[in-house]
Amino acid sequence: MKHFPVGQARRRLTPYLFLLPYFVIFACFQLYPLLKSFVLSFHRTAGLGEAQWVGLGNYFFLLREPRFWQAVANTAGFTLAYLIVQLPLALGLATLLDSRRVRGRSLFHFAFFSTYLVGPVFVALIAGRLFERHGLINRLLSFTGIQPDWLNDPWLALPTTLLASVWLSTGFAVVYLLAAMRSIDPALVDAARVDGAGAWRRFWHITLPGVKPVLVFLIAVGTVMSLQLFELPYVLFQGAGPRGSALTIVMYLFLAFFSGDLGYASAVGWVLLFLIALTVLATAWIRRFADSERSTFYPARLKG
Amino acid sequence: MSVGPGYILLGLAIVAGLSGAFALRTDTPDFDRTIWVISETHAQALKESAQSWKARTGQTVRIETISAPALQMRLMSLFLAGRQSASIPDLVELETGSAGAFFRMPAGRSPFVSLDAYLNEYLGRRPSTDRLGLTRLSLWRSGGHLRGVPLDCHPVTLTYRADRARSLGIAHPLNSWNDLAIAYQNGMKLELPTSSANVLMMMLLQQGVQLIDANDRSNLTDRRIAPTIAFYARLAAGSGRIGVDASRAPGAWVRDLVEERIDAALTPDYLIDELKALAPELKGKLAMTALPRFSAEDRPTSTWGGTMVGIPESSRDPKQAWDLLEWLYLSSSALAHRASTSNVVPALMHFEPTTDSTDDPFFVDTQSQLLEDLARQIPERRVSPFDAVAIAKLNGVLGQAIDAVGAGDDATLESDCSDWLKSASTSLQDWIDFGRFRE
Repeated sequence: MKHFPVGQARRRLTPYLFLLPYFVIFACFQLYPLLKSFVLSFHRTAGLGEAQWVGLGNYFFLLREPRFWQAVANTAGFTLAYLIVQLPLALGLATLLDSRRVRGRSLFHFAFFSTYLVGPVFVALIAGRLFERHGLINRLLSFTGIQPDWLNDPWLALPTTLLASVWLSTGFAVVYLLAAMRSIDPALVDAARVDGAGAWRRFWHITLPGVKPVLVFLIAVGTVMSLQLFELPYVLFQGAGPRGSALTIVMYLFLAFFSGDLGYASAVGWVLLFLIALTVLATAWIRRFADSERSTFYPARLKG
Repeated sequence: MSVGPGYILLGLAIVAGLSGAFALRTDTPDFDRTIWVISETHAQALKESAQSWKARTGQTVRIETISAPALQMRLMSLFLAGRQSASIPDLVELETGSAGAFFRMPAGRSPFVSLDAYLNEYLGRRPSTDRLGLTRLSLWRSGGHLRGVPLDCHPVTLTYRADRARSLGIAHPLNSWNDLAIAYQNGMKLELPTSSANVLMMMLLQQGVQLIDANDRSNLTDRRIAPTIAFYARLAAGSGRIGVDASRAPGAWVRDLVEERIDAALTPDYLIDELKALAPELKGKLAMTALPRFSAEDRPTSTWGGTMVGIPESSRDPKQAWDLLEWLYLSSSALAHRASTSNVVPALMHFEPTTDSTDDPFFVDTQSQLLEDLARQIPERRVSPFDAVAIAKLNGVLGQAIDAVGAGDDATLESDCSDWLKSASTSLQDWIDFGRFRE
């Protein structure tokens, strides 16, 4: 039998000892609930002590439940619109703030980022006041003669959520993009300028490739955050919005949980997890594609 | 032996953990009884009675205020934890919106103690109790047992700007909804949401319509629902519209009333306190009246919302918990205190006059006993775990009807509503059959 000296055993054990507290907490508060929710998703429940096996019944019911698909459609629509609006806006603002000609940049940094500091509930409360039918936004629009009913019109629920969400989180994206822009070698920009490249060409061929990894990160984070959208529309509309037009997947999960059927709510949670996993995989694929030779995103001469 | 940085960090982590545990150690003294209430107003109303309970029995009472959604979450966690939980309250307040989740369990396994025997014994002992909200008991029944004592009735009145009505030549009360629809064409604006079915539900309850019957069957095809939706949609949209949406932010509807964006609204009694607090400038300009009816058999009022107080099944001593409940919520002094500090009509009260005999100066042309009279006539209402789904389905049909009226495509609105309701009913029944917990 092989014997290890005490010192060697201690050295081998030490890292595990350090990992132990985290693992214990992870196992108790994350892994166990995760596994338990998976088991629960195959049951009809009325409290944990009262569970009836339904097999895949919760999943089958979910897939033919119109309100769930309404929540999926709302969430997907929001996610797409959010990425289309937020990223170009953040890129534009970051480019402006990166310019030395803009004065008071710190103030703008703070102004853009401040909404992110206060969080979605606060932003939703303020946005609720702004978007009221007789709120500030409509007062500003009064000279146009257009008075949208932002919070009561089912067609305007997602645009209103989108505007509030962009207001909330654009500052977050700006900070990341600005940091990425500032890490671009100034010599590259100077060389391009000497070569006669205009502002647009410099942006397209130097800035954009330089911030690409951050953009991919922001797409991934933005997508996952959008799929988990809950507090903002819930507080803004005090529920699922006019005719369920602000119902998101997480809100649907929340309502299922509050109806007392934890099994069904768990099934919704696992479907959401599946969607998020798909999104992460898709983002990874996009990143690989962007990095590949086929991609025209990078001009060949700038590739390392 | 040398001590490496790893051991120092480990030591620091242990010290930090122990310090955290020590800091979190509660210094509050142990209480004999604990109550969870849903608002600070409720907590304040109970404080005095809790002190007299201590003087009487020597038992201390902790009153914890927890917002309704948080309380539901806590209660669910408590029931999940089972009897072992150390923080079981003796009494818990619950709102209608939360009750369905706890009424899912089969009758024999309800998380709340059956209160029928206790309440019957109390009512037998107190024959002078004015059972204002006797129909209210149905709201808190599950599996054939009473799971909570109703604290309120929440009768609904039509509250309107009397000055506006006078200037437009509209005389109240209006006996039927048709009369109101015609009279309000003069320019009086009634709050009728186009994106929520709350007011529609009040109109349906007034007619005695429940969306889900006592046997958990969808009742969306009830013959009274389609005409009511069609009537509502024509009031809320199209050329003959008299309805407007109120602002959505909490309390903002009061500003709408002040600034004459709405002139009238259906108001459960708890909104009267909100009106008085947020719009003192309306004093002397408002009036309250019973609701118009659809037919002579309808109630002149409706009901919306509600709170119960119940005893969790895992309570340490249900009998003692009931004694506390009776003292805090049903004793003469407690009932009188609640009646005198709020416009909310208690579900049970005593014959002793609890309200001022003079008219409320905030309102004009209003009998002081209106709310109590209406409370005696509130329609029956039941709670089902599937209420939220049923209201969502009703909301969907209402939306279709309003769109049809808005587009001028309402020649066959009533039969269209019937068709939409049939489809919604099938879907609701599907939900009920799927979600019902079987014995």
